[in-house]
Amino acid sequence: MELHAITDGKKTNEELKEIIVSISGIVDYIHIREKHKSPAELMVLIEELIHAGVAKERLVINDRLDVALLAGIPNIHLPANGLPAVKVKTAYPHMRVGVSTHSPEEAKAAEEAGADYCIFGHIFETDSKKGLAGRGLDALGEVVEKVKIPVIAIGGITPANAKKVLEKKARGIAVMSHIFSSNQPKEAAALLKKDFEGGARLQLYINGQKTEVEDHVQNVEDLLNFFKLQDRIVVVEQNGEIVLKEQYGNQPVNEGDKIEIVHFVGGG
Amino acid sequence: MMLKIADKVFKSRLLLGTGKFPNFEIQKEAVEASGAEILTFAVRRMNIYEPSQPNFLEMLDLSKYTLLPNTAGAKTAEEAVRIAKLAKASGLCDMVKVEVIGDDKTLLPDPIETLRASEMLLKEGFIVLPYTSDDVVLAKKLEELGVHAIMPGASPIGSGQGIVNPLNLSLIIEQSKIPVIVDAGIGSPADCAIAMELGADGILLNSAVSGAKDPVKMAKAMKLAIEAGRLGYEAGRIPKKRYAVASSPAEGMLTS
Repeated sequence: MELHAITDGKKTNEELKEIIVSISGIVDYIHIREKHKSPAELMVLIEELIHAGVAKERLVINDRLDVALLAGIPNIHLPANGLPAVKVKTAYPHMRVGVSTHSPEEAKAAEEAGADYCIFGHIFETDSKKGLAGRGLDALGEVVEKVKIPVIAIGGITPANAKKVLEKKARGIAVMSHIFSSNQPKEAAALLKKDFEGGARLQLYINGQKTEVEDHVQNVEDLLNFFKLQDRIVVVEQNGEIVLKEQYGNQPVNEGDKIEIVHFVGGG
Repeated sequence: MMLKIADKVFKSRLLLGTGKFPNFEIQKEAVEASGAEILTFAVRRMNIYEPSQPNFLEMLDLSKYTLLPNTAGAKTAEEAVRIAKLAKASGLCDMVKVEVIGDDKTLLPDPIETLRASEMLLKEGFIVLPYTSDDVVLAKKLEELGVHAIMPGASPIGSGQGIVNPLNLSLIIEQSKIPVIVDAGIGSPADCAIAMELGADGILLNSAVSGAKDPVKMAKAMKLAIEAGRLGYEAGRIPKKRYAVASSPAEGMLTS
């Protein structure tokens, strides 16, 4: 289960840096979503974060593909009115591309555009979208049904309702105010993360057999590590597509995936 | 003269399969004794619950060998392409032995699917070596497609019956500008020598060595037979005559 923290656009670089560094060991991804900051400010923030030991892989740049590329951040998240995912993915196939969606149809379109995951919301009424009724858990369930890519739920999620979101088989949750408006961001993040532990196991079909793996298995690299096959000569196919070695760490593994792990045996 | 497949050059004309050896130690010795530089492998699902299972390929010094994965198990061109792509994704090989079986009892190749698979794999940029029946026209069509070697069977896989249709084999050899590698059905060193004397460019065999009482010794025997057959072919044999022609001078015999 993934926990995404999204910056709230209300803080200075110094404030952001302090919070992000404190939660970087807890959350899985930190989205830099600072629409009012200039590219120059963003570059400074990112460089300082990296300098402070935040892994590039944990950072996701919202909207600003140019900044992500220049800073060498491998993850880009596209807002609904952002760059077309299909063009980004085609031009930069190694980037992990996420898309914000607000309906099952938009989620499907994101998947077809080649997005690696989508964020769907908002599930519950939130501070950041005041007055808008949440789209609700049922809609979330519908989205998860409709697409194969991971779905990250967003909008008003707290430790109190996080379990319900996970029951709808969302891959994870994204939060903004719960962490960035908290007096104790680190503790808030840890509490959410704790909710996931001991959560659902991931069900896959490996080599034709229904197989359950621990839910910390998020990508192909994790999967091979889980079975201790990381040093063996194997080839992995996921839902009919070969996953190259270079992609193992970036290739998400999702509920219900059909995975083949093959090797060379004696033959004439 | 060396064996040249696409842009790869090999000293040895023996291609060795790696199936059904009694154990890895004997197999390793047999591979060394055979002098083979090209080894075939199959692609199969791994038992993911046995991470420490030994694997022959992982014991080899891969810098010394060229891997030739086969598409065994495929019954259609699409299945063959899928297997070939999986093999190539290992990053260890770009050649593939196209093997599309059309009949479970005889294990004879399906000519139509073999042709289709070869065409598809050529488009994908593979070095394509199709295992085919000894059909002369099929061999020609495969060559026209652009395959890099043609591998007609001597007789059914694993049967050890040797060369049952030397005429067809020699016609294929005669018409081909690409290497002809006789694949499958070899039983003994004599079979190798015959195929090589017919002008074959190489031999692919497996069971004849792995199933022999002494696989290591048989591997060496095959190597020598192939070398002998090749030398014989290059040297040019005498034509067959109906009656005897004395080797010793007819003049100066003591009895005349």
